[in-house]
Amino acid sequence: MYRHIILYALLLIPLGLHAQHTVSGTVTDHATGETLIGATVLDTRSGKGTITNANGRYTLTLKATDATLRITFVGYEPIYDTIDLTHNQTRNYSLKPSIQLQEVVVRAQRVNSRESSQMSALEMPVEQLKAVPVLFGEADIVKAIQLLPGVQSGNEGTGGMYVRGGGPDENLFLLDGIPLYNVNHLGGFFSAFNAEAVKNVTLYKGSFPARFGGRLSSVLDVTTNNGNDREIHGNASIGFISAKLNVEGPIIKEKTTFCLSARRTYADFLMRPLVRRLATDVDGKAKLVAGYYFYDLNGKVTHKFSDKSRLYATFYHGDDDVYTKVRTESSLAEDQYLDFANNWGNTVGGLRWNYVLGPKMFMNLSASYTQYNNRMVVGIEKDAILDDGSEQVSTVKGNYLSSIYDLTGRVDFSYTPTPDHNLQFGTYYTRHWIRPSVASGSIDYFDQIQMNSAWQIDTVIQEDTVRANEMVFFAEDDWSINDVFKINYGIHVSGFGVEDVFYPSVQPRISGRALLGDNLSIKVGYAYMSQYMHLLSTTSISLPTDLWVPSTRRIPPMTAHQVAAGVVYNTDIGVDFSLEGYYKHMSDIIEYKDGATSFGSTVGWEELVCLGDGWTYGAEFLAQRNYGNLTGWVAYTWSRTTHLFDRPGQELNNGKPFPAKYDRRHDLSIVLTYKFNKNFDISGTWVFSTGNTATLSMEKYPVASDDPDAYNGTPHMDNTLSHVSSRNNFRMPNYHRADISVNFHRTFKQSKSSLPETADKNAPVWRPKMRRTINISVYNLYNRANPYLTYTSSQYSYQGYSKALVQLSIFPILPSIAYTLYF
Amino acid sequence: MKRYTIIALLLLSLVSCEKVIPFDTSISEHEMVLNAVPSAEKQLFVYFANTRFFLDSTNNQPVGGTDMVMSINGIDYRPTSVDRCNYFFDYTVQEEDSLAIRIQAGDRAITAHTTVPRMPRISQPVAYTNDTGAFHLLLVNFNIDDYPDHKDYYCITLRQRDSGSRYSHYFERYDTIDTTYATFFLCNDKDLIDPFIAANLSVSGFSPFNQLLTPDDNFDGESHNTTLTLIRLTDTNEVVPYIHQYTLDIETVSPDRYRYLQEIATATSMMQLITEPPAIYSNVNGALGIFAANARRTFPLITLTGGTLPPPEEPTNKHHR
Repeated sequence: MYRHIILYALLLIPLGLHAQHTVSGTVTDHATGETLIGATVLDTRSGKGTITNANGRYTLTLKATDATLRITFVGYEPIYDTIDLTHNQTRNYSLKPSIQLQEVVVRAQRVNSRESSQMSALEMPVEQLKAVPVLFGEADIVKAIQLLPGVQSGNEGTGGMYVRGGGPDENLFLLDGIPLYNVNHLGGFFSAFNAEAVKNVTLYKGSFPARFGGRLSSVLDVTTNNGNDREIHGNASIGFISAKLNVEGPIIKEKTTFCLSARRTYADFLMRPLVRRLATDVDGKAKLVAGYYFYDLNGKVTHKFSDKSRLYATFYHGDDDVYTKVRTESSLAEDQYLDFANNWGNTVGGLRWNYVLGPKMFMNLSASYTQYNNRMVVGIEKDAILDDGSEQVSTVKGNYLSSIYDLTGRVDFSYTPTPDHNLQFGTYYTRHWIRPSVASGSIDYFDQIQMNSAWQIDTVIQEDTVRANEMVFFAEDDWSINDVFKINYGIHVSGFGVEDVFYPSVQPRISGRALLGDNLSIKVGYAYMSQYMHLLSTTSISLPTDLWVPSTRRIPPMTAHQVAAGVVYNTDIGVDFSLEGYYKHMSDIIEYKDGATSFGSTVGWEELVCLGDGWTYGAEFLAQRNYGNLTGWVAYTWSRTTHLFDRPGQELNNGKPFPAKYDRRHDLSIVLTYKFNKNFDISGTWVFSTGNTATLSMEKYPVASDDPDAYNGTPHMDNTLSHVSSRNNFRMPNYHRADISVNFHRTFKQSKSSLPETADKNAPVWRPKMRRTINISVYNLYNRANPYLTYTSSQYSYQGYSKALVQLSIFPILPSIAYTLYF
Repeated sequence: MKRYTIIALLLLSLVSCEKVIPFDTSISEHEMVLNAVPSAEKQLFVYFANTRFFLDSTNNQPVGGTDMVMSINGIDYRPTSVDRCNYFFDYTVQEEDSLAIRIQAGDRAITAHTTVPRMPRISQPVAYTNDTGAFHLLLVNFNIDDYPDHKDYYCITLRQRDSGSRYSHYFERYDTIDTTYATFFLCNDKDLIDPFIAANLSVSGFSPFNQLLTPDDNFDGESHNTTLTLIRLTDTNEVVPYIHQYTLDIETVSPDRYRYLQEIATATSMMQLITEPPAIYSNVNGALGIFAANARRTFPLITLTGGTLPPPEEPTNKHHR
């Protein structure tokens, strides 16, 4: 503990005490009362400025006795405020949406990206992310993020994220600061984030600020809407496969707000009559019942006790359900059912108290709960009619459960002693309960012949709840050394206690920038990260067989060192360019042994994995325009990722290096949105990437037999083995695809707002009463057949062979339409 | 089932498509493979061939210009006849023979060795059926008398002779599309269950291959009376007049063959559809394949003609040697 106190003290050394005063406060949307994240507060006289944080708060300490503040946020009209700085004071500002830009909300990124000391961080306007055309027209934050440089998708259409050579588990997904373990719906085709509930998204790909930890590759920090504090508003949307509802408003005007969002797919409803019609017996009994759906609920309640004190309550619950029930007949005229059901999802809840301790310091005190469950049931049920006419049910059932429960308490502080320093420090503790897999089976069996004999068997294997404690202390300082140099340095100290071992980790983080002229800055960064939770995955798509497991006595935490350097250039035509290079070395990464999977295995998962190392390097280019009628970006990544598992007894690929599953040389994304007028805009994307790697068994040989005739028949899969020369030895065809999306907006009625009196009491705000948007999108515009699966098929021949290697493409050209009503 | 298949195909054809992936077929190089399962009381032979390209449906091709020597208990033998890739030796394998093979193929030297296990001491198995009203069962009772002074592993396989398959599927027919079947291989003696297959199940184990693999440690040199139970879980839509002959193979296997069979069972399980393909264990230096002996006893069991067989009055414990 003393070490940490000393550490904090050391961080404070550079802070000088001068005759100066502080102005602080909150910047909000004038129409909704929603806090604005990333708004710029600048003293036009001294040139000193800051931006609002995730709570919409700013703190600016100035040496002058008066100042003229300019508060800006693109998409909003700026405010100028001349203040007398003879004492510390609180100034809250409400920005009015710009009439010209009210449909497309964009953000003042271009100044921040060049001036920020943070390396490898991307803050994308949510409205722009939502405008990206995606599968089934369902706006998806994660899939839009995949189009950024350094971020790769998994298989076609899926939401798996592979950031700078890291695995899908190496990304920390935070929903209002609460971690989510599984962010996938429907095998990864949709993410758990309902775009309608999201206010702000920031992606850190490396050089993480010290306040983040626990993952090696990225942090996706998602902040949800607080809710309109003056009027009830919302939107309802119906699309190709899902319907959504988002409602927000005041519970107590300008005091307590709520924001509720719900989404559900309805393919199961639509398919049910079809399945019933096509799979019904002559006697009218259904032979097959099958379906799939997911839903998620987001809720947030915010209460403002005073300007200094706010309470936030966040709730999220998402669930996926897939079920099939097949009825078959038996020779004994019994009904027999084969059941399969799989259910997985997250539940998170959190309370956060945000309190302003003084003009220069505020605090967040929070408690949160995260739960992830994955349940699977496979069963057979047989209804036998006994001689006496009574019915007897016999069942054979197998259950599978994997779950995680986390309870976290956290306190963090933000302290701005001078305009040149912004300190953040805090601590948190998480208690984990992890049950990687619990399999159980039961037989409840009635013997009709021997009437007195009935079997009842219940058995459970691998019930091993792992309890772990994770403690973290962090401190960071964003320090403007002078007009040219600015650094963000800090330390993240964590410890993970599991079983009877304790893994301490001291993780230094630093990144900095140097301004070279008005438009150019160079940046460098270094970060050391440690990860205590791992996802064991066998495939490229998110399957129920994926398993979250903790570090244990035998499995140490994964660690990574990452260095990065780059340049940012802002042009005068509103386009920002950035170029970054990185190198990351990962240690103690885990992978399944060849052929192993925890699902269905009766040995512990620790016996099924290997420990190894990996390294990745690459270059990323981004050209981005965030405001104006034409917005979008061009992102290109060149990268190489290699894994090495050569530890004794844990060799993969004979202990030789091999390309990682998502080692892709080239990744290119072009995303453009053009707003013709307030009623019509169009978006398009084109993506290209080198094909995924795959392990292909190129050679075959027969199974050994003690019968010589067994070798002379026609080779058959039953008596043939595959020889794999090396892991990921085959490169699938390149991937490319174009999508397009068109939005038609219409405002039904406009009225003069009856907004309550605010700090700025003039000028009424005109805004739409009700409007609607019709979105028509086409996924895979030119019907490119991209590979989803590969296999050999004897339906085709190739170069004289009677079989061929075949790819299965699952998404041809897919048009979709969605209707959204805003009220 | 046809209807479901049609629906599935219809949906698949709407949303998916297949396409041949063009690639350079010359990127693959053949390996050599040596397979030999010297079996007690059978003529010794060795399979030696090149692997074949995975799209190639023809048989593996022989390796040219090979010099093969088999050392049996210290005496060298050479093949007396060759049939394509099978090299036959004029020798009948005996229990506890020590065999070592040396092959020179071009500049490649291939070596391997194995020791033949003893024949299993098994009572005459007795089979009977039990139609419980809920499940159809086939039960096979026998006694394994383990050698106290010998480390052997056992592989127990139930074969359905007329199915054309080396694996059994109780009562079911491959050509009946309306049949949905699953066959569990249950064993009443939990000590016999291979930990790899079913570690902590209290009463039963599940073998995807209908092969029960069990290490010697489970026997401790004692006699075990065992009943295998096969459960038919579903029925056909029509009553099929089944006539099937079942045989039970019980073999003692060398540790190398035991591991080999284990890894094949893993490599060919359903879960392999979603995992990285594993490398199969080989004890051959310089080539793929396995050189591992066994000693097998085969017992004809029953010929089912659609009826049921009564259970035995009492288990038979007469040993066959």
